[in-house]
Amino acid sequence: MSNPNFPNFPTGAAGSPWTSGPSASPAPAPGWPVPSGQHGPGQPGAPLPPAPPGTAGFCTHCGTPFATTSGPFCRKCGNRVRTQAPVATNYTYPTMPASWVPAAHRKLGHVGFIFAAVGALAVIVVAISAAAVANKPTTSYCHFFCGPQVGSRLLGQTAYDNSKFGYRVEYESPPFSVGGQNASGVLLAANQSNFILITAESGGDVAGAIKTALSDLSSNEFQDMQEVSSVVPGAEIGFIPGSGVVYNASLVPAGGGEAQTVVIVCMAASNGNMTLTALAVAPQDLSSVSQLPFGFANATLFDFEVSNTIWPGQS
Amino acid sequence: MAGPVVTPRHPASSKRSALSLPLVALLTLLVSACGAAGALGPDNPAHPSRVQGNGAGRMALPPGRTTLPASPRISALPPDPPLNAAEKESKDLGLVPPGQTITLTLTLKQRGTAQLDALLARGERLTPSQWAGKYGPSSTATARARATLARAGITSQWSPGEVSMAVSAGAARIERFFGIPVHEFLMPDGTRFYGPLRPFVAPPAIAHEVVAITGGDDYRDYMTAAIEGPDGVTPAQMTSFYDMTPLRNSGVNGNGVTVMFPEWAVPTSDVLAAYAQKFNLPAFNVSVVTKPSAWGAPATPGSQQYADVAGEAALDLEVVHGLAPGAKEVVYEAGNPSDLLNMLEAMVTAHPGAILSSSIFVVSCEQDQDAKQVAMASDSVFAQAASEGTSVFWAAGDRGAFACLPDGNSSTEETVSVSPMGASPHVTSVGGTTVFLASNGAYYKESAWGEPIEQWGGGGGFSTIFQRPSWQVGPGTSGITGRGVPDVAANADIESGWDIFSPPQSGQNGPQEGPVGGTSAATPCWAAIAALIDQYLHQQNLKSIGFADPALYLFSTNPKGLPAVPFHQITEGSNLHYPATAGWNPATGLGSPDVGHLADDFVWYDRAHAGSPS
Repeated sequence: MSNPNFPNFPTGAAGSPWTSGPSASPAPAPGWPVPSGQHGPGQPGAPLPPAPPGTAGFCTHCGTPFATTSGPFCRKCGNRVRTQAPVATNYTYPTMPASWVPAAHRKLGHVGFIFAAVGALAVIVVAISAAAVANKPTTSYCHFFCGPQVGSRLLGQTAYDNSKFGYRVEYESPPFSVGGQNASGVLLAANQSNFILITAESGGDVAGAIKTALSDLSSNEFQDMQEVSSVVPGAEIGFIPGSGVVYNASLVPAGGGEAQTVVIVCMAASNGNMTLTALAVAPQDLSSVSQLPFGFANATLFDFEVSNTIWPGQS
Repeated sequence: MAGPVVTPRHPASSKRSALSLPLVALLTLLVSACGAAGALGPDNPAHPSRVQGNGAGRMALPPGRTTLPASPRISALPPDPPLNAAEKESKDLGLVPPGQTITLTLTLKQRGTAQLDALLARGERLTPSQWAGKYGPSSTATARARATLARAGITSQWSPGEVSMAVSAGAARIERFFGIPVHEFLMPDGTRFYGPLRPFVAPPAIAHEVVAITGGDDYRDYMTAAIEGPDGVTPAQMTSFYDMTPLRNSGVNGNGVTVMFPEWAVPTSDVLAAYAQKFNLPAFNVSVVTKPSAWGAPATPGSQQYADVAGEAALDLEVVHGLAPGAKEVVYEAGNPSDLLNMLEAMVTAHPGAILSSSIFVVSCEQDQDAKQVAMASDSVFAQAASEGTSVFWAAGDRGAFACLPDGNSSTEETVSVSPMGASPHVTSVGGTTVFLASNGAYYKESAWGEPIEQWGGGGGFSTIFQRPSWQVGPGTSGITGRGVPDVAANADIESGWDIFSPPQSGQNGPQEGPVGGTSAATPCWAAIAALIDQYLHQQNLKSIGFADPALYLFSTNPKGLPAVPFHQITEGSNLHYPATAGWNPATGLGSPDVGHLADDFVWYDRAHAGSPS
């Protein structure tokens, strides 16, 4: 392939006239050292003289002009310059005048080079920005109003805010109300067998937090605990992914009364240096497939609290 | 999964927070309270709206509510297992009488499926006659199959262009030709039904022309995807939330556009009238098409399952009417699930270029015994619909990534799976989100719908039956091989459910207002959006949306000249397995719509594909 602007220069990788030779390897940038024995265009010590009278052409290797009376080899680099007889053609290539060469063949000073580089960079940035603006969606193309109408979050009407750890739990009331609270968390209860306990602790030990929450259950009241599932698919608190386990147990009222089979879902998630745990208890209900797989009655009421827990700094 | 008795399971942890001890005491008090003669205190109407943790470990008995609101439910209860499971659970009464008519549906092989998909990917469409002449089943091959069936004494009905063929004969002839016995069964609740002992397969004589066989039973396992809960959002809120307001303010209301629904029943007119009155909407414009001889007799008021299945239809009709009150709504009623596919084909044939919205299923997941047959048969119908410019929106299901859960089969309930009908590459699969409103009624944010305690969430994952279609490209799709669903999503969480009027359940009187969720709600939401945009396109002499997926995925790549980004990217939450992430994801697909932007994008898309028939 030849470069249409410089027919005698093979096209290099980037089509640059600075590449030459069959391998079309990139020529060093101006000012960069050239391996010994090579002279790239514009190299120190290799300035091209003005074309003297009687110049027949330029050496394709080093650019040195040669005269009609010169021998077959370049007097400067020894490149063969006349291997073939001239080919008759009706088209005459424009002679490359010396004045076209300086930008390439002159050494740029460091300051000039920096200015040139900065200028080129600025042009590129402006061009890319212009292209991006032209091609990306903009309000100018939008028939309808274009900015997404986004407001601030509509907060729940009932919420618990923890001042020590800075998290918030929105809850549905009714049926839930605060059954108790301390520095780490809150108990939201609907009745004696439907409640969710949300607590916080420092650190990121999710498994430990689950273990702690379960061990805090009174073994007198929660009897015959059996694992239903060692995982809770999709376990999360406030959209921070976590882990969970599911147990069932026989809930025996401490003051006496009939025992009831309940399901216990315990999940924990860690965010930053804080772990939140949600332990939910509800009667077991296996009356329909809609309760599968855990049989946790009224589960969606509890999921509301789990997904509407807002971590510190979260919106 | 039951484990050993673990009482007490865990020794006191050394990491236990001292601050948790008061809560342990509180729990003890709480549990103790239940022993005291229902001894919870009276309701506390003065419950504060904000409670600040003061760190004092203040304890109190919970205000005493001894009952909770009704449990959220799926509409299609009681829990009917799939056919094969039902047969195992029922008493086998032996072969059906030899003369009893058995009807099957044979889905016929289409021609040029690869060329058809390439055509769809370019946004092109066909007329019904073009479809029948070039891509529908071959008349010659079908005639050969019909002759074979006739020699076996089996009658068949087929017209050129139809993708399925109904065949019927006495049970003895069906059993002889297909080699599958058909038995009668008695369920534990006294219900009788008949069905094949094994799935029907095409015998060699016709196997080359048939891709799927469905039907051959009268077992009714209605499956829908609607759930009911304690709160609700209004049509006006959703209109604002998804940025439909600019279209509505410009007079666009879906007028001139038809939205059709396959249903198991229709709600009574008083239910719809109550909805229209509550939200100050015009009267409903609903047509009902029934064909009991072909599709079975639909459930009627007073029957056991009517309220549930009619509730599903009420949800579909009301969501569309609330968002696009000018659209004409057409309900096709099927009574027999095994005839649903025949009815779908009739719908597609009768209303080319319309919008079809469905949230009902024949099988739950791709692990079900009949899943592949149903998937292939329904995809044939959907391919025809897509080629003729019909938009099909299909619910992705409500069990998150675990589509088999409704089957109640412990061997598959933990298997990641998708719903086979919604996984067709020729439908727009609709997943679910949880909506968070802004205080000014506008958009705040959405998360993927996933409820870990309840184990409900928006369906989504990868099909093992269908390959990824060529148009499913863009951010988030690299590396996937199976068809990924859903394509898009919308509000489905019961926590942010839609305010709907439903038929009364047993013991109730009159229309029942309450919130309803599920991808059953998200799907008609998208159908209504398509109706609004179709009208907007028609006003500019442009073709309707048609099969939306090629355009939607193109929009997701943000191509040069696209007027506006049409999706809300959802990056919070999961569908119980797959997290919502930037770009397409199996929890929420491409995201939820900004309808104003989407309308402009379809104008741009249609102008780029001008010249195709509308």
